[in-house]
Amino acid sequence: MNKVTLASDWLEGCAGCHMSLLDMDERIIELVQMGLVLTATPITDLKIPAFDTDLGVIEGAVATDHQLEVAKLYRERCKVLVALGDCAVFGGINTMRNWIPIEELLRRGYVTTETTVDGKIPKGPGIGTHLPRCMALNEVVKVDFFIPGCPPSADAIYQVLKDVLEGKTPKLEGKLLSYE
Amino acid sequence: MALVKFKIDGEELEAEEGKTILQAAHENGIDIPTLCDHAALLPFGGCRMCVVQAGPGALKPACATPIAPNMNVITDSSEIREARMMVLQLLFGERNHYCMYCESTGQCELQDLGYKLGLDHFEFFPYEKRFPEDVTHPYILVDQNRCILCRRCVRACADLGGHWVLGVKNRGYQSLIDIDMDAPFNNSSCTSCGLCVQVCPTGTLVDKRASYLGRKDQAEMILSRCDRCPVGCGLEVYRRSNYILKIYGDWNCPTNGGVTCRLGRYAPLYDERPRLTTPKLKESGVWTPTSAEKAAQWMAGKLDAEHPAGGCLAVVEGSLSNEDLAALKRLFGERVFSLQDVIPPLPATAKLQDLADADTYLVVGVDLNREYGTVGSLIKRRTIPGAAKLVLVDDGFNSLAATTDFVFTMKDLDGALVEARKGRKTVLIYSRLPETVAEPLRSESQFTPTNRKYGDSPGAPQFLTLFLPYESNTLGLAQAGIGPGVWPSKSALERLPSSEAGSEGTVFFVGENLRDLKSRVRGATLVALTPFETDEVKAADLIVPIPAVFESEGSFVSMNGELLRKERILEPGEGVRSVSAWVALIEAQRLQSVVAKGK
Repeated sequence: MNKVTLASDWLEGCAGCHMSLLDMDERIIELVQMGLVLTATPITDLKIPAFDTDLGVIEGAVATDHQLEVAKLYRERCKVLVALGDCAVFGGINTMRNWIPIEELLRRGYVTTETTVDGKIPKGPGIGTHLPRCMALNEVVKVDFFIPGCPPSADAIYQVLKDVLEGKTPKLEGKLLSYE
Repeated sequence: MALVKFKIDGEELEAEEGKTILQAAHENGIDIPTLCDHAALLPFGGCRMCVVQAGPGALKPACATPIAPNMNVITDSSEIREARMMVLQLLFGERNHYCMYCESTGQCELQDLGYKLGLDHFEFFPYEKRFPEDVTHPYILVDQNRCILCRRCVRACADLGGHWVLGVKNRGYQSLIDIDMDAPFNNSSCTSCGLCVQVCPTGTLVDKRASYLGRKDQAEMILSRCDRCPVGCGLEVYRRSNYILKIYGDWNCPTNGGVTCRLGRYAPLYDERPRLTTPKLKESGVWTPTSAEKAAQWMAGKLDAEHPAGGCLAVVEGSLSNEDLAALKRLFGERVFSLQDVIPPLPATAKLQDLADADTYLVVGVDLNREYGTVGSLIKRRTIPGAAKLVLVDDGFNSLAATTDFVFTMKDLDGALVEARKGRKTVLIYSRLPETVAEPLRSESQFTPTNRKYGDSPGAPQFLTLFLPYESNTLGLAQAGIGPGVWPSKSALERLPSSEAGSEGTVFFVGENLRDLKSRVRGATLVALTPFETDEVKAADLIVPIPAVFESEGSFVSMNGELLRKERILEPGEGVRSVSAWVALIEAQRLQSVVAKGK
């Protein structure tokens, strides 16, 4: 049995795609029995993917310099990189901020919100700096496979992982591809 | 027409000469993806989604390439798929086609194609540039960020609607749909016919009212006829749980072919007159809600005073269906009058179909952009490009005047007739006419030996008259023998035998737009059967709810003389009954009192 190692992380996303991943329920066990090894994932709480990980799965768009580094790290260490969900695939709802100057955006978020008292814009080495535009994953690194959807259905994720474990090239069609 | 033999994907087929590859393919059930093409519009060849291999050389757009004898068309190959995917990638990459926050998701032709062709990511990265939106229009929202520049709206606005409001400005990816050379939408020459929304394949042009309330496939589509004017356009009404999402023109309806106007598409949906939902009786000056039985009893009591209708008469409006009119006639006999006139000032000789090949339209005293909008579309789409001539006669403002050089006042009717006589087939379009104008037009429309211009012999110029009835069912009223009679001259009321019968005369007003009740009543008791509780009906002593626009069903007679059926779209609230149902209830009450007297 071929083991397939999988590392995943989320960037500018809402974790919904990882919820969808968990939404496979008992089918995760089936996949693990088929040879799937979950390594660094938000689920295992390990942060850094190992070298030569087979599958890197990224949820969320690239919006800050930190996220850009994570994207590049995944590309470097993973043989196949998968963009999971509309944010990673297209940029997603985060791209709505692309037309608003970042300063104005942060002020609105942290200072001028009606319910905020004495707000300030958080800054520090642990906090990423916003890139001028929020980008899809394939805008910064080469992406080998895309699973669109907001979130992608558990069926779509299952189908892709199962195909990979069976040594087939996955293909999403029809209902598995559609956003609705 | 000659038939041409050709092949599509190896299949031997035949089609009429002059048809495009796309039309021939559709006739034979072969699917070719399209975006800018629309069955009701002329081929455009803009989007290049429908490219096929047809003969040597580059791929050709199937929508704009006529079939040729022995043509061998291939609709699917890796090269074609690649070309289509590239088109799709470019379209998705140009503007904001992120489906998640679009109103049209799930009913978008671009999105459907993305799924069909398996587009799972963008090759070119969008959201670089923000394009303008226009939200000024009362009914329509324009978001250029969703536009794929297929120009369906531009073509529909011009070729079908005849309005020429929309255009395209700038070049390349900076092209924008342009409204009256940069006017805000609400301040443009737009007549709010809504055709642009109906043909838009994406979420660029959106019905404001229907936004985010449901998609076409979640709604039930009901084919009905519009009863807002006597044209009787075919409508596709989309209903979702007793709510109308949107109204589209019925593409297959021979009357309007998809075109409709503000009065049919938007006005009834934005009607904010307060609904009357329960009968209300005025008791010592105060409105008191009452039960249907009590209201019917009260009305029956008034009717019982004399036989057959006592000192009562009914005054109806032209929005009532033939069935309602028949019921009222049963109750009131001959004493049913119309609020408005029903007789045309001069007899009509033309039908709507005559507009299609006329070369001169003589429009007298009616602004077709505001009323009878479909008739306006039918003539404007021919007069503005110069296929026919519009001669306009009107005093005061008429928005048609901007579209023609031949504008005359009523006084100068002779000048207009000189222009009209130049045509081979002239259609006079009119509604109400002052007698000073009606008389010369009447003689113009009648052929006499001295009238040297028109005749019955073949090839002779024709002069036809197209009467636009005043209300939706004016012809139905006329057929039922209901006219204004001596009404509204007030003498009808004077005839009420109130004093001798020992009971006051009662007038039943029935309809939607009841105006000037107070001034017409003069002391008589007044009952209003109406859907709306407007200030006008407050003069009544009893108001009784009847179904509003989309809650009623029934037949009416269109201006073409056809008997059209209007469907019930919405369920009226409890307590609302149709006119026929009220009449039945009153009859039942009368019967009961007769039986009671017998005992």
